[in-house]
Amino acid sequence: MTINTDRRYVEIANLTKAYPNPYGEPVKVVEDFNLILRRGEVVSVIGHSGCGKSTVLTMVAGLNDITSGSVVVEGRETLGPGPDRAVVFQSPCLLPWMTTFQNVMLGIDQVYSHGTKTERRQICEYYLNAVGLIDSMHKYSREMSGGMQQRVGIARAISLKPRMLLLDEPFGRLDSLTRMELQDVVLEVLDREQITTMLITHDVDEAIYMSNRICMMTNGPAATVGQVLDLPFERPRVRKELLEHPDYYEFRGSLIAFLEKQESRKSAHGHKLTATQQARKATYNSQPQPSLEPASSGAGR
Amino acid sequence: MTSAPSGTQATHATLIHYIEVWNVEQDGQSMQLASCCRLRGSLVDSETPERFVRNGEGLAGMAWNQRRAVILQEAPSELLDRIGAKNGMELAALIAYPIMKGQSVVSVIVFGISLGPGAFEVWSRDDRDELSISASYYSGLKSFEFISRHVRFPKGAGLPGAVWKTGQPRLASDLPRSSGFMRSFAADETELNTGLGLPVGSAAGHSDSILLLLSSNSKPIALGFEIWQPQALSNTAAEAPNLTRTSADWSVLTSNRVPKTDAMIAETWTSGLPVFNTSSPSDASAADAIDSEELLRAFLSIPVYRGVEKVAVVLFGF
Repeated sequence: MTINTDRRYVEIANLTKAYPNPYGEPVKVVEDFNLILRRGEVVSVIGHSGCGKSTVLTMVAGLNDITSGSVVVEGRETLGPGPDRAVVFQSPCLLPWMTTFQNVMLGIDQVYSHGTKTERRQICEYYLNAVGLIDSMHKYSREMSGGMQQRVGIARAISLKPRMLLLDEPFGRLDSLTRMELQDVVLEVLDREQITTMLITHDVDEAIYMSNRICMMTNGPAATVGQVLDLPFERPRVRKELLEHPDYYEFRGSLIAFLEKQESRKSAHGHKLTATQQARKATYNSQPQPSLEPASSGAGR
Repeated sequence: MTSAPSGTQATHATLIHYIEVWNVEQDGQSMQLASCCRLRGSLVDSETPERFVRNGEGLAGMAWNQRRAVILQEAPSELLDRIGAKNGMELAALIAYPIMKGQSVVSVIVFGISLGPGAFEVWSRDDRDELSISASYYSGLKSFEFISRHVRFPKGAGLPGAVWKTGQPRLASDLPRSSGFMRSFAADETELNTGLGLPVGSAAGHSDSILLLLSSNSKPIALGFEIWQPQALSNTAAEAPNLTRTSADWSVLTSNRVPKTDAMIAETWTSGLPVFNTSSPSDASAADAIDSEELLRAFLSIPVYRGVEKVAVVLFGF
């Protein structure tokens, strides 16, 4: 691996996603999203709900077709999903008929198929230990809390030794104490494994605590990178020290102001339609709509 | 030449109060001082002494040599002190902006900056293909300076990113509410009002770096800015294409009337060199300003090239 590849480990270039509107016209929800991640770096993407953060993540993961642009990981352009990019969603999506151990082994069996059964088991136990679940490896998801289930999801993702880890609001459904605890677990793993990570969040404190950089997205349509904030805090981090750092609140204030400005733009322009759109909307609304009510004289009644 | 205003017309002090315009000689061996101007309150001292510098000499020569905007502010600075003393004014910073046609510098503008809220930033491409600050001067903008040093702009993002992507100058007014200006927190706090992004060099159609001027209403960098562009880009090769004022900001002036600068813009486009004019009551532009009891003391217009083609003219009113 060359130094140059390490410095441009993940290259997201002009990433664009368009969906057709009711009139069949393409509407760009994300446009020209550009971002470069160094190897081992954690980059948070923040923005308002619905701005397109998760759309970017699913395109990078290969789970969502790219309209235009490219994603290059370690010098290779991605074409669909692959084990080089592991994803953790807000909901861990565990298979309920399998134990913690079996859920994690699912991926390991695929990626380490060349290893012996003992080696695969050791890998599984190593990552379950890393997320603090070694004593719960034989439990089913119904026997575990939301936080524990999310730990399984994280262990399942990192055990694949991905080149890139994609976290889509992984702590969004957890209470604040569990969230902080799990943030520490993830940070510890990332510091140890040096996994290049993209974290989607709308929590500015989480973004500052977890990341080397924060990518701020503008509101859609045609959402894109507004600016990127380079955080000077060294990793590994100690939460208390970070919160007491004199610069912490400057960064925090800047992030909140960015989000507020995006929100005010959304309020000011969100419901404005062009004359053409208004005319089309009127035409569309005047057309007879399909009824969900069964016909009163229909057959069988 | 000294032009003095008549009567008691109000004037606005500007952050820029010293200007030099240098043009590279045809032989490419030296630059000649075409204009030198001091803005003292309502007075303008303008002269054109016969002075030449070679590549690398002095601040203008440094910008010519390095083909990038140079900001000089460190105190003590011998050059800063010398230029200030020579012109009888206290300078907080000097900025040299090279106007490039392709890879060649055709002119260098030197701005002398007085104390007051405002910012001058040079954004350069780094190894991530993002713009980060490579040189800057801030006055009275502590938070803004702090955040700006940690902000990066990918191509197309924010005001510098937009200039980089298009290779065109860009003007943003009402910065706290401008959708194109991202650093809103600090702008709100410091009352920065107007931003002007100027490309520096543009090989292959993209700017190598961007000079960003951020101006406040309390002591503006200049009293107004205008950008003029050809109506159609295909028209840029024409000798005198139909230029249109595509953006302007005269928000510092209380009058709604904007000065007439068409002739100066056309001269700049035709010559491909910066033009500096002091106004006199006989000028149409000054007459307009006097109507509103405001005096515009001088104008500077500069051509902007993308590659070797002219794409715009930017005008400063003082």
